[in-house]
Amino acid sequence: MDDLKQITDDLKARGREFGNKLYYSFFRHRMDNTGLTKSKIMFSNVLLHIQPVKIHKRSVKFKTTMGLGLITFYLFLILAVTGILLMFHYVPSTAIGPDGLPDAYSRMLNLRSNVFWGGFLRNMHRWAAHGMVAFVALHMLRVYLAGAHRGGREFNWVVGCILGLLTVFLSYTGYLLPWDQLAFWGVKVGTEIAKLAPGGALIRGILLGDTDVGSEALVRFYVLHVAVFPAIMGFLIAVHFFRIRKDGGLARPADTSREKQIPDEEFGPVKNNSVFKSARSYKLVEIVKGKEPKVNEEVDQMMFAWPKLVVRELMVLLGTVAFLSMISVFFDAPLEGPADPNHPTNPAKAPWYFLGLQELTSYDGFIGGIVIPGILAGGVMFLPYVEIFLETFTKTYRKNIPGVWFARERNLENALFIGMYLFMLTLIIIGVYFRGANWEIVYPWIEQAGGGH
Amino acid sequence: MSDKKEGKSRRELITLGSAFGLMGLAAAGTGGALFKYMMPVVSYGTPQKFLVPVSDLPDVGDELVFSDMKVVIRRQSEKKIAAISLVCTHLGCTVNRVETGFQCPCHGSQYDTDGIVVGGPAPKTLPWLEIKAVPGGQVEIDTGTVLPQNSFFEIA
Amino acid sequence: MIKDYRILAVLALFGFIFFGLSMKKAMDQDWIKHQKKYYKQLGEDFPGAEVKQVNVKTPSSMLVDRCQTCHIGASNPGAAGFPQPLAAHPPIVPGAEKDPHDFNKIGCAVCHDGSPRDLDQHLAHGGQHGWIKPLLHGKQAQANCTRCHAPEGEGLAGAELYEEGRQLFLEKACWGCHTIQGISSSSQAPELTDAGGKFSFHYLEESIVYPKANDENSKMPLFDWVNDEHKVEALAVYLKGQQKNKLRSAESAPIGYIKPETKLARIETPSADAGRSLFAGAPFEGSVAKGGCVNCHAIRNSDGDLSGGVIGPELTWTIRLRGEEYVKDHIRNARVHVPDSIMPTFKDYNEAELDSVVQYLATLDFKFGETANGQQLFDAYCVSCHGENLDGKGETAPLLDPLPRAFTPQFVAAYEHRFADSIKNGVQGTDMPTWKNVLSDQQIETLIGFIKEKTLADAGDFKRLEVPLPRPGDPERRDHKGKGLTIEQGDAQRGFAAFQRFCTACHGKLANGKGPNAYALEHPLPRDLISKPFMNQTAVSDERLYQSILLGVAGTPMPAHDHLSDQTILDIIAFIRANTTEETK
Repeated sequence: MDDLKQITDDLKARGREFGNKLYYSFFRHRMDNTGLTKSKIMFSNVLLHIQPVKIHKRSVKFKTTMGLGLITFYLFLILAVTGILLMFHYVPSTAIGPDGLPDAYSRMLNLRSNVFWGGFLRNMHRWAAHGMVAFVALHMLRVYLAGAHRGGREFNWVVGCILGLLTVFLSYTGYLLPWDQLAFWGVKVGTEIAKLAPGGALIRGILLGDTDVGSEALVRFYVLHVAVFPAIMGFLIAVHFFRIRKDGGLARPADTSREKQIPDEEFGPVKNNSVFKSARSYKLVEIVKGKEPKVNEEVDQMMFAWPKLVVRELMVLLGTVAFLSMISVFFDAPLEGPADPNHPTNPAKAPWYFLGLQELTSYDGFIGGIVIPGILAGGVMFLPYVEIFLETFTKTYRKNIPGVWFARERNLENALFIGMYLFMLTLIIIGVYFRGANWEIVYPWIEQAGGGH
Repeated sequence: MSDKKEGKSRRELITLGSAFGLMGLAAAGTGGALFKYMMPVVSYGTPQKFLVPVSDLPDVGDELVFSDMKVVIRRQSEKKIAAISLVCTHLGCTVNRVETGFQCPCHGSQYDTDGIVVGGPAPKTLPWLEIKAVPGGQVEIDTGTVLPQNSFFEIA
Repeated sequence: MIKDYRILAVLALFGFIFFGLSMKKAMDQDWIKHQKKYYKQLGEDFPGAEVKQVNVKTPSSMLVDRCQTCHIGASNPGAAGFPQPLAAHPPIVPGAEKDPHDFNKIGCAVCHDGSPRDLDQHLAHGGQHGWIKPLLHGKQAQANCTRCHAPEGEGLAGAELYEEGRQLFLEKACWGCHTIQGISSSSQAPELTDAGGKFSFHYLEESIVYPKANDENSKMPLFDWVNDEHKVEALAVYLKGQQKNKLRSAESAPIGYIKPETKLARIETPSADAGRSLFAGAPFEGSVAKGGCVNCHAIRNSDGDLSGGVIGPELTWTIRLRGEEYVKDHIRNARVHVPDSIMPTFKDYNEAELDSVVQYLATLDFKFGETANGQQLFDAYCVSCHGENLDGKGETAPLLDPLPRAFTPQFVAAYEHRFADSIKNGVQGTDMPTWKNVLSDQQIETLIGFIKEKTLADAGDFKRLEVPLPRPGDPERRDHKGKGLTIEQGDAQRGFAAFQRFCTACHGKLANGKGPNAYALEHPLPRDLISKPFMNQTAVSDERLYQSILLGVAGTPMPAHDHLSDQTILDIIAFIRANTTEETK
């Protein structure tokens, strides 16, 4: 009996050993609740190690970011995945088949009819693209209103602006690919606006590869859409995230006063097994720039990223995917008749994010086509430097508290920025809903006489 | 105290488990859907299947060659028909019908009238193909489905 | 944390639900239901859903056709009575033992159009917004016979509607304005050689019935036969069949593709009978009738019954009014005499054909008796230009330049003494023809009486002044300071300056009646003062010009110019005359 027991015990021990070896080949940490494990989980996982081991409690509060940047990033991921899947069923060709349809357009019909789940994936891709443009704008608004573009983060704002422009370009280049009337005339109008800018005709020529939107333009837009812009975008996203890490996480005011603290009740007490009771443990392994409160003076507002942050991020991802799926189930991506250069749609509207500009150019080509986009692209991109410049030369050394919504010191700037948003939003709404045939004012609640094409 | 804590952690575990369970199900479903998404639904080339009206079938004891489909249809009796592929099992040339059976022009593979290899490099017999009845007095020959030899289709 | 986990679970549930919904949408498709129903109706086991795709091979490429996924019984005669979309297709070629159209090879969309890649009924039938080729229902599909066959000449069995449309195209003189390569050539209206490729069936029907529906600037007349829906459908089928993009090349074409050489037999010897056929648009002794004047122009038979179109003027008297040469010129190119005419150019008529038409028109001999009253005469002869209300707005008025006279009360009161001569001899430089070969003096009297009776009641005691034309040496009318000025010969140089100052606003710098203010005037328009035929006729004397300038023209927008001195008026007259005398350029 003893022998048997010994053998079974031995076998159990071997089994445990084998199991352990197997486990530690996958994971490099245990699964308990200690701070060490929590730290190890974060920096031994390739997907998680972009996050710090410990984060400020503010960072996971909804109010701080509203998840806008993260939603934008997830939309980018969804777009990448669905985009690659769509590429399996797409050719950027305008060759006309015997059914009178351009190849690219026929592929759209295939997607929506006989390719299983094809329509859904196309819907996902389309709505995610629109959503991404919108969320980039919202994210930018959040960052500005919270003053998070200052305090050493100026350059990251510039990177963000470039990312925003890239998003619009991506969306715009993708807009042409279905090669239907909507796409063709939308892009056509967009490139006409580009003509107004100085050097715009040159850029337009390089973009279109021809004097007009045609087969060359389709190939170029395709390559830009699936390779060039996503690659640049991926790189810049890495830069964007890296700089947030190096700037010490999300922008926030200092924790020197008790009043601004987040009480323990919200997230529970922080279990800190490290010897350094109040200092941030990762200070040992990396050098963080910026002003840091002195050791022992800091009221500890840091918490482990695992599992709170990861769960919250997962929450945002699930929410984004679920909402997008819902939209994609109930609303089909638009598809008009095949592109026909001889029959313009009336009105010919650019994609909605350009409709503000189109609306402006309908008043004045120079102001709408050059001045305002110039201010938007250039002015907004260098806004933090403009602020610094003005502050330096007017000697208004004021207290900049990054990460605080609607800081009183920044009322004027915030008001101007919101005003700019409202201005563009109004123009876009006018362009989308209040412009009918021949770009005449129509009221969406009054039914228009049906116009064929 | 410890009971309460345990209950809390069990609740957490169940909630988390159901969340990840649903996520896993959706992910598995997505995987399946993507598999179907990539699967060919229709053929844009020469279709695998083709239809022949029963009235167009050869007379008893006769054969009919469909050269563009690389198939010969043979009628053994009033009721029994069979379809034999004309694609050489060696390297895919189209074999010719000769008196002794079939002969491949490329490397000289020889088959007898039932498609059994009698000479040359061919490794396998010529495939016998599936025939199905289709509503409307037609039969459908499926060049993609191979049946054992001497499988005859009974015309209803 | 439990709160977070719960939210996570709820979100996961939502995600799962919507994923499930998307799956359901992808799998629960109508075409699968149709296929199940089909096999149930046949009483056979359902072998599994399958997209039935036909790859229609064409010389250049391939047409993808998935229609039979739903229309699964199309080629199964056993499914004849099944409900749509499962039913068998009725035979295409009437009387053929075995229909040569094999749907497993040519699919459905080759004939019926639509969007053959789609599997949703609404989309597949071309219901999508802006779809180029909506479904052609039933016999409309005959339009697409031409994609593989050429039903010209003999006609193709089963393409009756198309053939009917072809006849209509010739008969209704569509060819007069529209080019279809190989059939007609004209530059007056849009070319229709590729009408089927460019326009949808509905668009064509709409444009035939109401041309302005799709093109606001269309000059195409409204025909009265378009109330016949069948004819419109037939013509639309024919036009839809005009497609440049054929599916077959001449080598691989089924029967009847190679176009028969259509040599149009021409009329060689002129005769009234041939003219009659041309006029009616009917074939004459083997010649393909390319005429059809009757579609626009009406004529009267010897009983006075009017028949024909109302788009152009009535032609019963045209030879007697205009003479043969005028009519021939008009047929060759209507713009020679009537600048804004919409009449097509029949330039490929040979001399014999023109003569035939003229001879035929000359046979029309209807005349009103002496007892006809003014209303009858006016309704027959005058109303098409001068209008029912004598306001110069008859049906053909918009095509004429200058516009027909509006008989305003003041005008009639002032100028009725000129009417008899104008009717009898016509008015040179206008479209008013000479009626002396048609109307007797008695009838002309009756007509003038009718006009006066209709209008003078409103004239009150209006009376035109008679002012004699001053002669050189006469005293100046406007000599208020008593300087004893006398008038000298009018001087064109000074007249030019005065004209520029006082007249150009309406008559234009070129004196052609198209000054800037003329656009604000409706009827009548300022006189074209460089029209030689008009200005050089005897009725337009210097005295008439003098009176018209000095006193204005009654019943027209021409105002009085009594603020001008006699000398200035004479100068202006000299200037106008210098423009139009034969010696000057």
